[in-house]
Amino acid sequence: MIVRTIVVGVDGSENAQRALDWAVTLAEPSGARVVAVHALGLLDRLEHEHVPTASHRDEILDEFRSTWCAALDAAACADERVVVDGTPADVILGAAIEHDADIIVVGERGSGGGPARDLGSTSRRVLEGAGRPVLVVPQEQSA
Amino acid sequence: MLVLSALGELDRHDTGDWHPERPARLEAVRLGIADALGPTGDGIVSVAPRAATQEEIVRVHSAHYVWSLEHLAADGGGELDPDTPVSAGSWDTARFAAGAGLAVIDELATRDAGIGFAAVRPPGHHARPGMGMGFCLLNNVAIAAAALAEQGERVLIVDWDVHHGNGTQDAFWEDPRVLYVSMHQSPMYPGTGRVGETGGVSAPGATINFPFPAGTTGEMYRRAIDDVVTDAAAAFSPTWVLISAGFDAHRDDPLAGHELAAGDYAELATRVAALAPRDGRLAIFLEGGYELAALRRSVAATVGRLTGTFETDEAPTHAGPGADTIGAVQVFRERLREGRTS
Repeated sequence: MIVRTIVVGVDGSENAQRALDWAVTLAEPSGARVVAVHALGLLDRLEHEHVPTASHRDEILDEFRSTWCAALDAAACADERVVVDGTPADVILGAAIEHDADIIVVGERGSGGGPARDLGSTSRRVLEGAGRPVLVVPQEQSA
Repeated sequence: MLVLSALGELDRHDTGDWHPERPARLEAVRLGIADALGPTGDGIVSVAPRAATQEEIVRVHSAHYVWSLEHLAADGGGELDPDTPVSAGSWDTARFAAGAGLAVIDELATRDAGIGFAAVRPPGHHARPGMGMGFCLLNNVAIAAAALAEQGERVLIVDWDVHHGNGTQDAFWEDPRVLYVSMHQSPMYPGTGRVGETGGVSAPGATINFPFPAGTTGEMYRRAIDDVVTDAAAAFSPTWVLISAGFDAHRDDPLAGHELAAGDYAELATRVAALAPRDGRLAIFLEGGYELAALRRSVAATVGRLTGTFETDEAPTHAGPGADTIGAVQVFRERLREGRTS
């Protein structure tokens, strides 16, 4: 099995950062390319503030490429940094198809709770729709 | 006469202090209606919202999604995506928001007169059959259109919210009983609504999308109606016309980059109302609009024009980009008429 392309969801959160680190860890020894994907919703978070994406689009793109994807700068692998309008699960699944990903890496959102809460779980929706291997990276557990 | 169903105290959808889709929007709408019709409410027929039934909701949404949404709220809430919070009161609010539209339709049908207005939140047009998104939980206009279609009606939905109504498009993609028209900014969330999205194999041409670039003015929205939609509607021959009325294409709105003024909404309202077959067959469903003063002025302009009671002093806008989009839509529709798909 050869891994050529890894799609990873990146949103600036700590957990997404861990997902990106895992994507790099998988990519470096295999020579795979990492496609980092960010979903542009109606709103986004910059400097811990919710902002409309329409009026902050350029700032979000800059932040995504230069800060949220900084781990790729020092990584020994090829990468692509992509921003797409839509919801996270749709955008990640769409990118996996478009880039013919061998594996998807996403952070697990920590909402917890019963089955109804899976409704808003990006990782669950990616798992259900991916049709290919998915690595779900859990949040860091506090000691 | 305005047949109005407003959520009022039934609004218990708590999105948080930071969220632009907030309860104050409905107060802005109330003030806009008062600006148009006067503070005494003369000319308003108030209709109490009712909760949409399970049967009415599942004409559009999957039973699994409906169950999950209800239980997410019952469990105290959560979110559908980073844009779309759900609070403990969201399920009931969403049911009443959808039911308000149904109540308006019923009242219009009974009276056979008036303009309907469902002044509700959360908005609905992004809510897809299997999942809400983009601030939307249940698709209010789609639930109303599905109810009408079930009664044998032919429904034209004109969506002038600045974001593409992907949920409404999905709901009627294969349904020739509903003609869905959207004018929206592109590229922009939710990333759908391209010119080539014209309906499924069972409903070719029953979806019309105008993905206008940033900077588009009201002139292009008006030309879209004049140059394309009027003919399409004449061929479709709707028995009802529903407006998915977002007011976030206004130049002051922070969630988009179109340049409309309140006067543009008055002009659009005139044109869309002319597509209805007779009095009592036009209903407005509130979608977006997040700058409260602009929302108030735009609602006043729309309602005032339709009821003949008020004219805004915010003049319609002209020029700017977008003509290419209209031309592309015309090319696609010509291909459809000729039976070509590419």
